[in-house]
Amino acid sequence: MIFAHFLLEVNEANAFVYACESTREALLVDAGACDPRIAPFLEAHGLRLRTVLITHDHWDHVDGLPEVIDRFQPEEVYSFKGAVAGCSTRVLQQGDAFTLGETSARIVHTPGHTPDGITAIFPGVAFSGDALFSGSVGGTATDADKQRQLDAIREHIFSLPDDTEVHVGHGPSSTVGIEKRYNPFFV
Amino acid sequence: MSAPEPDVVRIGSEPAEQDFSGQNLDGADFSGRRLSRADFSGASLRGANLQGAMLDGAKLRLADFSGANLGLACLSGADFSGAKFCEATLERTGMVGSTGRDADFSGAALYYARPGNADLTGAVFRGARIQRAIFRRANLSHTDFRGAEGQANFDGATTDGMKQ
Repeated sequence: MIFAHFLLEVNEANAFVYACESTREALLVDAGACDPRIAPFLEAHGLRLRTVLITHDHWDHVDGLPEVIDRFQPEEVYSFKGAVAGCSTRVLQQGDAFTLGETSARIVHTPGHTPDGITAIFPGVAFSGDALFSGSVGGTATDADKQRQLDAIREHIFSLPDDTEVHVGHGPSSTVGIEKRYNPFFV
Repeated sequence: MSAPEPDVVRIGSEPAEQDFSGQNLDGADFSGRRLSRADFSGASLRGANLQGAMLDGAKLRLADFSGANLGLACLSGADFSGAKFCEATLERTGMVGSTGRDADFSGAALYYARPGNADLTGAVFRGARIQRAIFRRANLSHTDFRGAEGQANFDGATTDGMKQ
């Protein structure tokens, strides 16, 4: 697989390109901005942006979506809700899946930071949005939301193999094993 | 003029637990590589580029990362006790659950670094830039933060004998 991490100027949010080396089909995870480095990266590696996945509907993860759609014309745009940033999206909820070239992702619902938070899980790689961070978790509005978030992470992310990479909405990447063992919000 | 590149690029996979111990790797480019549980013990990586590298669980004891770029790298669960990070860049670097006893971060840039739950007993942060670094529940006993700049998060950290 081909992986690229873009640290955006908007609120220090992350966006990622994840692509199949065989079919050259690429996924963009989150679109807080249409980063000017995405197009030349796709071109340099012969990739076609086929899919966009929005992990949750917060401005720093969606505001660039209209420009991304206009520029790259992706075949599929997915989110939990059916519409974000004024754009229609196909709904992905707990247990749904989508293909990316020769691999596929399944979706788990990881609410708490927002009600619509989802995590995409590929073999060995997860994109968690603002649910789980390296050594932290996304902010929540209420104690109930926080508990919902911690429960969802334990159930759906910490059940993955320890070596699974976790790429997050803000800050550095991590692994399931590291977060399960050392994240101060869980131990 | 080349096109601007992503902050991290990784293509394909490579074996875990590679052995670079004791090697002179000054100025080497390990950016974006997955080097989980690799052994860099006693290696010299002065000025090396490790931006976005995955070094989770790596053995980094007594390695020299002076002037190296470890921005967005994952050092979580790694052991870098006695290592040198003088004037290194560790911006947005994951260091959760790491062990860095007596490590030297003098003059390093640790903006938004994540050393939560790390054991940094005796580490030196003199003149380091620690704005927004998250030392939540880290062991900072007998550390030296004299001359460090910026507001960091020390919630629940152990700070016995810390010098500020």
